Amino acid sequence: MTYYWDTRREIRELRARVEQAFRAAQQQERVCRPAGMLAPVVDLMSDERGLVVLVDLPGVAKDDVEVQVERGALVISGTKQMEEGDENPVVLRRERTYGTFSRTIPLPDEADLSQVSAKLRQGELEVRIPRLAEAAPRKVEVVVE
Amino acid sequence: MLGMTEQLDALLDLRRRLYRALESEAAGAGQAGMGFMPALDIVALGEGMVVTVELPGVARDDVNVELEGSTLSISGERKVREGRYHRRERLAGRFQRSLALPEGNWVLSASLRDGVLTVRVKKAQAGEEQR
Repeated sequence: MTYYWDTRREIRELRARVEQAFRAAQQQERVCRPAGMLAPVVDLMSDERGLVVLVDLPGVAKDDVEVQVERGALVISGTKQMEEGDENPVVLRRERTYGTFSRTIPLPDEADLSQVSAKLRQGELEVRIPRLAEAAPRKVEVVVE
Repeated sequence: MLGMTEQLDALLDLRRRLYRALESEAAGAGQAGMGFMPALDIVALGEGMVVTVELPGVARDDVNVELEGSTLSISGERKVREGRYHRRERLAGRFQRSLALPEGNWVLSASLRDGVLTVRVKKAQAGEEQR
C-alpha cells in the first residue's frame, strides 16, 4: 500500500492543533484574572528609550482608564463603555465586548518605576517605562553561619 | 504555579514562527492571506444600520471602506511598531471583514475615532457610493 503524504493537509492539521493548544493555554491563564472582567490584549516591547506596554482599548475614554504601579507590576484597569446611541438599540450583531477591564503586567527589575508615563491615542494605550540609568546588578552577599 | 506565563510565551512564539513559515504556503493557497478579523457590532438605525469596528492604532489612511453590489467590505492594515517584542498578543497586519447587506441602494459614510471605525449605512436618495 502506498501512502501519499499530503503536505497541505498535514500543515492544516498542524495549524489546527497549534490553535487548539494555544486556546487551551489562554483559557488557563484567564482563570488567574478577576472573574467577569475583560482582559484587553497587551504587547510588551522595548526600544532605545526603554520598555513600552501597548494595550488595545478601542472606544475607551481617557477618564475611564487607570494606570498604576503595584508591587513591581503595571496595573491597567478601567471601563469600556458603549458608545452613545439609542436608548433601546436593535442589535443585529454584537462581537465587541464592554464592561470593566483589568490587566497586570509584571515588569523587569531594570524598569524605572518612578518615571512611568502613559498616553491614550487612537484607542491604543501606550505606557512608557524607562530603564534605570545604571542597572547595577542587585547582588546581596549572605553570610553563611 | 510557576511558568504559566513562560509556557504561554513559548507557545505564542512557536505559533508566530510557525505562521511565518506557513505564510508562503498560505499565499499560494490563495484564500488564507485575508488577515485577521476585527470585532464589530451592527445596530439597526431607521432603514439602515450603524457598523462599528474595533481598529485600535490604525491610521485613517490605512482603512478602506467599500461597497461592491450589496457587500460592504472593510479592509486595511494595522502596522507593527518597530522594536524588540517580549510579549505579543495584539493582532497586526492585514485585516478584512465583509458584510452582506440587504438588497437596496445604500450610501455609506465612515469615521474613525478613538480606534473605532463607525460606518453609517443609509438608504440612498439619488444613489451614490461614498468612502
